[in-house]
Order: sequence, then structure tokens, then C-alpha cells
Amino acid sequence: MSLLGGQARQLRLALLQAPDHSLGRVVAMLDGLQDRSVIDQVLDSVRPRLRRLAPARPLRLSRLLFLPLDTVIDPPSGWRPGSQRIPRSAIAPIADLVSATLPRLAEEIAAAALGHSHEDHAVVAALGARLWPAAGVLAHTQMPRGWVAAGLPASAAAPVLGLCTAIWRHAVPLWQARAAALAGTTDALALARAALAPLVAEGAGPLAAGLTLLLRASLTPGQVATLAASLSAQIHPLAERELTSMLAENAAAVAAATTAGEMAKAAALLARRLADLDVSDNAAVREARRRQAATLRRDTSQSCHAHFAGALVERLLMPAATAAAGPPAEDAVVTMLESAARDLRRLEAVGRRLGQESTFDSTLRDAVAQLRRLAATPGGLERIDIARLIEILAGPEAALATLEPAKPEPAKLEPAIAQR
Amino acid sequence: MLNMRSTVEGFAANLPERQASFAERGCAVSFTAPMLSGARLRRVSCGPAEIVLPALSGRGVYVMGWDACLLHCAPSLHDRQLWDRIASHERPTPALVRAAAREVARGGYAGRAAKAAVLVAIRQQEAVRDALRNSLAARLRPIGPGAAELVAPMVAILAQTGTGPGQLSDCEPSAAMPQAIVALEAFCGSIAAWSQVARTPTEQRGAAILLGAARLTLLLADASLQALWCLVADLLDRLVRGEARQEEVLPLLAELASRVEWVLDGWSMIETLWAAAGPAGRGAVLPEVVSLLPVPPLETEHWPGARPDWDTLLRTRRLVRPSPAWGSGSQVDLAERNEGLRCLAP
Repeated sequence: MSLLGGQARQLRLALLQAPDHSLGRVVAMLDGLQDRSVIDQVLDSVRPRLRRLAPARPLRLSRLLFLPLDTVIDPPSGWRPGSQRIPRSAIAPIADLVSATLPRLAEEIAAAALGHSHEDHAVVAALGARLWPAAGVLAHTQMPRGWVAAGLPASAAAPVLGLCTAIWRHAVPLWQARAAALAGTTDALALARAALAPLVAEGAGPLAAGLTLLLRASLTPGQVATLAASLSAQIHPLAERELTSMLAENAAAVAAATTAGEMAKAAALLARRLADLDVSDNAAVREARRRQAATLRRDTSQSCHAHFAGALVERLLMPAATAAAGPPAEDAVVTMLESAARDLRRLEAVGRRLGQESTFDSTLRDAVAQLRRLAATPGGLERIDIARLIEILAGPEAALATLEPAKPEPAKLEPAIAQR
Repeated sequence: MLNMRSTVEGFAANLPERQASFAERGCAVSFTAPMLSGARLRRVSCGPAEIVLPALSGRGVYVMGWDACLLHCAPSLHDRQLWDRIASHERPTPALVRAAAREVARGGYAGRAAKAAVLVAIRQQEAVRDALRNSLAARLRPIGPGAAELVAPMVAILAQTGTGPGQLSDCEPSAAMPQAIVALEAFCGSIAAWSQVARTPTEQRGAAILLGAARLTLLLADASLQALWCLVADLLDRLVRGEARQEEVLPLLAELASRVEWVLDGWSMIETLWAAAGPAGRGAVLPEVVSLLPVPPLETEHWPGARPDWDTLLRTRRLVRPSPAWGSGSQVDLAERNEGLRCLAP
């Protein structure tokens, strides 16, 4: 498929305007196309949203090949030669080179990957274990076909290919360490050390690429950055820079979230990552990290509370009042209200962890009071429906009074200690 | 979470892994609060009702009174209603607890979906009762006016177990206990298949323990159910021929029917947890599932039939670090999950 300039522009515009739920479907359709040369450019405009939504993408040879390098891939317009990073436009020529050099393996991998996505972790690990080490022994003096046609300088081919092959040689332990980092298993740090240590001999570029991969997967990135600095003093500034930038991106993802559930998830990840920043032998580093953590906590908890207060009214209190004023509510309506209340509770729990406890208390107290007033004349909602909304939002103690109208009590919030 | 962890550790009790009797082991209660997942209710001697919870460490249990649960385990509205209905029974049984749980869910305390699922289950149970009532009435008609007095209590006793395929009627709807045995067989199949793709030695060991426990339980449950069905057929014949007295029949039936219920008690939670986790989540749910294993008490050693080797299984269980989910999961997610389980096993 090739697109004329006007068609590409129209498609790009359509993608930019597409709601989240449609975007995933459109991207899945585009992923099914064989020729991705133009599609990649079209997708560049929505990549930040794709990163946030993380739809499952088909597992092709090129995607599998570059999964361990995912965090050092730049859009062609942002890539600079000598940056120890990889331009996205280099993926197709390099993948073609691997296919041409290892035709049988490439065919087997393509067949085995059919129908799987990059989220099928076991398949990625198994196929990667066959592909990456084999690709790691490619001679990086070769010029991939289509390199110059992709707008890349010929002089950049060897360094980019060199970075790729260095990572592929160590990709199997790196991928294992990444899986452990994502899951937060107890052996995550030991696996990270085992994966990063051999990369020191490969040079700063591969070490930085390996470090970035693990850092961005880790639930304890502070420890990973400290570990990297202990392996190579040279990598220390980059590790701290990468850590700072990743946390700032995490905070931005919280602020950009459009639903309470999505924001709770993003904020929980940030809170988890901020919790381990103090781990460093270097006092100056510790202090700098502490300052950044305090700023991010304050800003993010404010974002969380602002969203919580708005969504509470829009997604719960107003729909509940509407349902209570109408005919007996359908099960689907009550289920939707409960789902909104759960998302709000998740957001409130993580928002409290980051700060703003008293502000959340006050907002929650008002919401419970409003729901209790609804319970006095429940109408379309049953009293138990409203009690359950209060229970989900503020705990069973706060909901009890709703079921005992004869003995009303002042709004009481349970401490929600289990969430912290 | 850390506070809760240290507080509940104060209730740790070093009870034997195999209790002496089912009454000491307690009945599984389908509470929805995350910290009460896998709880059992028991009343030892004349003491107050107690809650027995799997310990976070994977070894031993916590034994708490309800006041302590209110303080430390945040029971849900549903759980409080359920406790009010079951705590006062002198001899709580799985059937009593299940009936109470259905009543509470019917009141909407576990959400609309659980309420709908319970209404369907109650209708199914009523269909079994009606069919059983008709079949027993027809079978016992020859014994005269005393038949009517016998039918109602027999229906109450046999409503969960049925009387066996083709015993009284060819088209009797399947009762809960035979269905539970089929579900446990299906669970065995699922575990066996999953163990083939289990990635780590801990997962493989956990799967082997679950499969072993499920198979041993199946043997026991199946033998108890078959014995009951044989007894029903035999007693009905003897009653009709006037060779058995009515006052002897009911205690015998009640004893055997309760055995099946006790043996299978707690497995539906395990099966639904496993099913709800889906293939991708099974490794993660395994420690919790292993922590909930209903181990038959020593009293089953005196039952007729083979003596399964539970001790070996329990020794192996210590190696997989069983652990309840509330030690690490989000409380909101776990509460939602537990209510979802009520829909799968109403």
C-alpha cells in the first residue's frame, strides 16, 4: 500500500481526532498492512497516545527484533547521528538485513509469531531467545539495503547496527531482567545486575540502552539507576538523567489521563517508583532525588484530587441522582455507578499516598453526605444500591448508617489503612 | 498494609494442618472483604463462633472472634449481614452457611449480578426439590399415611445430593453435590493441562499439590455420594417392605448426606478463583489457591474406603509458600473480584 500525500494527511488527521477506543482498532488494521513505510510516518502523530493506551500490536519479525531496543528508538525527525540511539526509519532496512542473512530462521519466527502480539510474554521470550542471539552475530559493517532510501546517512549504518547487535547479544538476560522488573519480583535487581554487567564491556551506548530498557520497566528505578552507577561511573549522569526524565513522563501521564481508572493506574505506578528513590550511597544524589520526588508528589496529588473531585460529581453523584429520580434502575445502570465508584476509590487511595489527605477527606465526606440524602428517598435506586456506592467509596462503616435510617450518624470515613 | 499485617499476626494460632473433625475445621464462608477471603466459621464445644483465616506467612492460621474481625478485617456490608445470620447456629454446617449466603446476596449486598446469579441458583434448587418430592412421594405411597411425614424431611436432607441417576426418576434435575463433583473433575483437568505449561518449579509443585488434593477429595466425595445413593435405594425398599423404621432412616441419611457436603466444602471458592484468573493469571493466583486447600480432617480416616496420604501432600505444600491475596493486592480490586466469585458460585 502506498499513500499519496493528501491521503496520508487525511489519515493522520483522522487518527488524531479518533477517540481512544477507536484508535486501537485503527492501529490494529494498519498493523495488518505489509508495507509500513508510509504507515509509520502516519502513526508518528499518535505515538504518545499509543504509548499511553498500549494496544496489543501484532508480533512481527521486526517488532520482535527491536523490542529489546524499544526505549532507544527515536522518530526520524528527532534522531541525530552519533546519538547512540536508533531512528525508527532504520527498523525496516535492518529487519530486512536480518531476514536476508538468516532466511530460514526468519521464516520460522514469522510463522511462529503469527497470531500473537507483543504482549504474549512467553512467546516473545521464547522466539526472542532464538532470534536475538543469532542477529547479534551479524557483521555491522554491512550496509542494509534501503538505508539511504530511508533518508539515513550512510555513515550512520555501522554505529546503529553496532548498537543493535551489541544489545541482541545480551538481549536474552536483558529480557528476563525486564520481565522481573515489570513484575517486581524479589530477584529483579539480581537479574538486572546479571544483565547489565556484561554490557559494560560493550561500551556506553549499549549499556545506556540496556539500562533504559530496565529502568523504564522497573517498579524500583531508583535502585536500578544506583546499580548502573555502581557498574560504571561513566553511566551515572545518564542514569540519573534518564530516571528524572522517566519520572517526569510518568507524572505527565497522570496529568494527561482522561478517566479516573486510568489516572489511578498511572499514579499508582508513579507512587510505587517514587517510594524507592532514596536508595543511593551518594548524599547529593539522594537529596536531588528527594527534592524531585517531593515536587512530583505534590503536583501529582493535586492533579489526582482535581480529577477526583470533578469525576465524583460527573461520573457518580449526578448519574446517581438522575437514576434515583427515575424509574427503578436497570442492573446495567447500577453496575456502571459501582464501576465509577471503584475507579474513584482507586484514585482516592493512590492520591492519598501521594499527599492531600485532608483534601480527599473533605471531598469524600461531602460526597457521602449527598449520597445519604439520596438514600433517604431512594426512588429509582434501592437503598442497598446507595449503601453499596457509599461502601465502595468510603468503606463499610460509612455505609452502615445508610441502612439504619432510624439512627442517622454523622458522616464517618474509615481510615482506609488497607490501601496504604 | 504493614499495620494490618502486624496486627493480625497477633491472632496467629498453631492449629494442626489436619484438624480432628469437620466441626473444628469449620465451614467455608463466602465473605467478600479481601481480608476475609478464605475464611472459615467454626464453633468449638460451647464457645463463641470463631473465624479461621489462612495466615499471611503461609504457615498456620489466624483465629479471631467477630469483634476482632470488625476491628482489623474491614468486613463488608455483605459480610456483616452474613455473620448475623450464621453466627448464632450451634452447629454451623456448609448447607446452613450456603443458604444464609444466598439470602444475603438476594438482598443485593454483593451487587446486582450476584443477586441475579443467586435467584437462578435458587430456582434450580427448587426444581430439584420439587422433582425429589414427587419422586419420593410416589415411591413411598405404599407405606400409607406415614409417607407424607417422611417425604418433607427426606427432601430437606437430599436436596443437595439428589438420589442418584435413575434411582427414583429418569429425568430428575441434577442436584448441587453431583454438580460439584463434576466441577471438581473439570478443575482436575484444568490443573493437569496447566501444569504442562507451568513455567517455574514452584508453579509446577503448586499445580501438583492442587491436583493431588483435588483427586484425593474426589475419591472421598464420590465414595460418600455413592454410599448415600445406595443407602437411599436400600432404605426406600426396606421402608416399603416394612423392614426399616422411619425414625432410623432420617439420621442415617442425614449423616451420609452431610459427609458429601463437608468433604466438598471450600472447593467451589478454589475452582472459581482458578476459573476467574484465566490462563494468564493462574501463576499469580496459585499461592492463594494453595493456601485455601480444604484438608479433610482426621475423622475421615475412620470412613470406609482407601486412606489417602494427605501428610505427604501437606509436607510438599510447605515448600510453595501459600499466601492469601490481601497481603499484596489492591483491596478495591480484591473486593470486586470476591463479589465476582459470588456470581460464579452463587
